[in-house]
Amino acid sequence: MSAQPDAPPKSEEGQDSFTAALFDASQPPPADVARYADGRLPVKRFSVYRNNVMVSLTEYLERTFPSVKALVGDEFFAGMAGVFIRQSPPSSPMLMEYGPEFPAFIESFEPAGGVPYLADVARLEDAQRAAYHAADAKPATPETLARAAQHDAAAVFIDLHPSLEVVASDWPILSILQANTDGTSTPLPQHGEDVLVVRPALDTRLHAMPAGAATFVLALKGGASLQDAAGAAQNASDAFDLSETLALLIAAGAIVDIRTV
Amino acid sequence: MTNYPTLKSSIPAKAGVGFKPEHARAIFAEDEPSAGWFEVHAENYMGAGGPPHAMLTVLRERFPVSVHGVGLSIGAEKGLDPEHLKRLAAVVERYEPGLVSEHLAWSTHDTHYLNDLLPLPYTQATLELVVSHIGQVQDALKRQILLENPSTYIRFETSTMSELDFLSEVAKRSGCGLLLDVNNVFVSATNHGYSPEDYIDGFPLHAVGEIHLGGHAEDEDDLGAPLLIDSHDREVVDPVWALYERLIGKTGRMPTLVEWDSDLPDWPVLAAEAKHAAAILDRAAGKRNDVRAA
Repeated sequence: MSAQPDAPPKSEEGQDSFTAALFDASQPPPADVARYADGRLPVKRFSVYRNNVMVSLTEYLERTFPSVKALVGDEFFAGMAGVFIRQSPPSSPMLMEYGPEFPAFIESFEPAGGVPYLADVARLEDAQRAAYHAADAKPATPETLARAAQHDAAAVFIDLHPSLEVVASDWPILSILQANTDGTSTPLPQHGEDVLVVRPALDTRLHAMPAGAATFVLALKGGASLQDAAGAAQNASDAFDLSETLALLIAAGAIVDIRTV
Repeated sequence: MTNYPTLKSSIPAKAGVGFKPEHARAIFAEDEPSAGWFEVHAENYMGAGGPPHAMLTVLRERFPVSVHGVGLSIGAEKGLDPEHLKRLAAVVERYEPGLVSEHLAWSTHDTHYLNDLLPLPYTQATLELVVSHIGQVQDALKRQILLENPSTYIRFETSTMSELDFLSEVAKRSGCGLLLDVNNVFVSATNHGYSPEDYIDGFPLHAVGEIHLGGHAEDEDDLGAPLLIDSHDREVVDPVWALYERLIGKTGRMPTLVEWDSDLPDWPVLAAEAKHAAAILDRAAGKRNDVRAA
């Protein structure tokens, strides 16, 4: 067998047509798939593969976005996930990276229009997905944090935890998420909530952020100095309180180092 | 193509279990371990950090661990993803598993990852492709890998050789070992109407370095004939245990893994499956000793 000359790899048609037929249930199985002895097409057999692809990816989205699923119900979620998967299948075998495009899809998915906060809840769950797999780092020690106080704020740069994510919303997404997780039915706040997501060790934690804090943290994340970030936050909200925000970041384990220049 | 030696694997010829984080607490609480070793899916440990790595680090300190890839797409017409191969190499370097395995299947195409193990026609062209890809993998990992026989639901008009001939030739030419999944044998044999015993008897057993066992679901094809689906969501069935015993009678003790990937049971259910496999391994060893003594 090995003495034969190498045949060129089969034309790309095989896996092209197989892939196309996987995502389009109206197509027959690819032409190179063997028929039954009576010439019939093995539709049910091919549909096992279709089903495996759709079900496994839908289950992945269900595990990653449990509150979105709880808010719209199993059937609606499965339908919505199916449209999303066909439109934006995973682009890498790193399935743990699948999901960031789901919130924007939800936002544009008309049947979900009646649940206007759904996309932001999905953003919060996607932030948890990212934090779970982010690089590990130890939060800064009290000594490191104390050092910062001795310097001019323009010369202080704060290194945030690699798992840190901020999700800002016009909806009370943290309260909605918690009501879903705990099954509690306390009245929801009538204002939007910005949420800090951070995993200082093994557990991912969510914290409600005070006014302007999201702007502050996003500015730090973008490389701004302590002074510039505080300035941006004050512009965003008169109610921004720097010491309250720093206290939250320290308590959350969201700061890994403080550099002075 | 470089031939990498068959590793003297650090995976014992005992019954192991596919590791699920949901079982970690129960596994670490056992005084007398129910499983001799564990297997993890490589792709679950390719993130930068977090609980998966913390858990695998503890598992690796206490048990022999093998790494089973599910996303390398060895049968991909458009070639291996070099980035994914690097990620697999990083997992192997970090955890130094006793065995590394992948599937005779494809799961990526163009920019799509399909998250299923899709079938290949068995032709001279796909043989060249698979042999070349395994060479690339073994060169990147600097070690031998095992390739698993698939469970399939369709066959291709274009196939020019049997799965057994294909796998034998791949092993011979690439120098890879084989992972024999007995449930896959039963599933494919039922689906395509051949004898699973003949398949086991004809398998290149000298190349086998690991055995898999798992559960399957039952459905019907378009003609109403049984169509088995490799679902890994329930117990191993009796005919698969019987095939396994037949296989162990030929190979002697072998590292054997029980897989259960969805609808996870509580740990004792999986532990019982591992003990079932262990009992068959012990029985086979006993028989071989008897033969030697006589």
